Amino acid sequence: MSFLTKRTIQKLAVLHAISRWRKGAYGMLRLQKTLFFADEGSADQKWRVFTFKRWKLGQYSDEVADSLNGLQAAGRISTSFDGPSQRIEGNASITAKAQIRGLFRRYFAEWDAALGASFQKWAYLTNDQILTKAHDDPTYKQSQYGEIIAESGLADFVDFENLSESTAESLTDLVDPSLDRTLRSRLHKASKTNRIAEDWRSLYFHDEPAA
Amino acid sequence: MATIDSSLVQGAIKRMISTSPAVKSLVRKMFRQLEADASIYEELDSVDQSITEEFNSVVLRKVYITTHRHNYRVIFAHWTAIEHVDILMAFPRKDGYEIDWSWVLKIMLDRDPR
Repeated sequence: MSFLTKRTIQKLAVLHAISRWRKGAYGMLRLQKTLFFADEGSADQKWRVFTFKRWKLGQYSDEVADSLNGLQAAGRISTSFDGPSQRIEGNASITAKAQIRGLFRRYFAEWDAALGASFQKWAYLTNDQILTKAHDDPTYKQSQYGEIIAESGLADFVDFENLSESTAESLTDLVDPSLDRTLRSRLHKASKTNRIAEDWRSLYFHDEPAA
Repeated sequence: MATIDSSLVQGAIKRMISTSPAVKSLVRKMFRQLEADASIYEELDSVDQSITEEFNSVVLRKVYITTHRHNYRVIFAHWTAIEHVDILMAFPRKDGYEIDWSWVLKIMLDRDPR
């Protein structure tokens, strides 16, 4: 029995979605809509991944934006400006990508299938087409500005049967906002220090004489 | 036999071993093992590989210090060419495996916990 936090699952879901674009996701609008209609189209509505509200540009999720910030801090996405567009690209090893894909195929099969369908429909539309379609959707037309139109079904901690603890831990570390940065800085510090043979026995275990 | 430097995490190690005799015993076992053969511990595969790219012969590894009540990890740099170990981080995990960064921060602010 392994748990992942809702926050971790959401970051992994965003990273998983971004990896579908061959050269990175063009813009937040496209990503938000692809994820909204993945949730909307999923046959398993109990496991909706994100909470969305009605916003000027259609269906929008603060949780997607928070996940992007978390992924950026973790070094898992990079953004660049490609002409007039912002391109969001994922950065994860092949092993990590396979682990993420495995998680969603196994435990979020309906959502993953719906993500595929949503990607086909939304991923490469122009901004104008996206806005027209999004504003025409009942979830937009039948709600007020700022109103929550769909809520995430995930609990704060989600139990995944038969997911190994080491995989759960690796996935959590992968999207941790501070781990890479802290390790990088400490490794640099350590590399600049004279290597000494510390007397750990006397330092931590006073009952044991130094070797 | 490897030399060990834990100066970057001295406070954290002291705090860990003060939590219970079982944790203390596991930490002692870890130090002995690091000294004898650090390569027995698994490589850290979830971090960006570019972290170690600029250094020669260094592998990041992790140690599980777990009892029925405590769940710590120790991450160290294993310099294989000179058989030296730098312990880089020691921290507890919360439910859901997230690193308890508030614990890490508190240790850094406390400096010398007893």
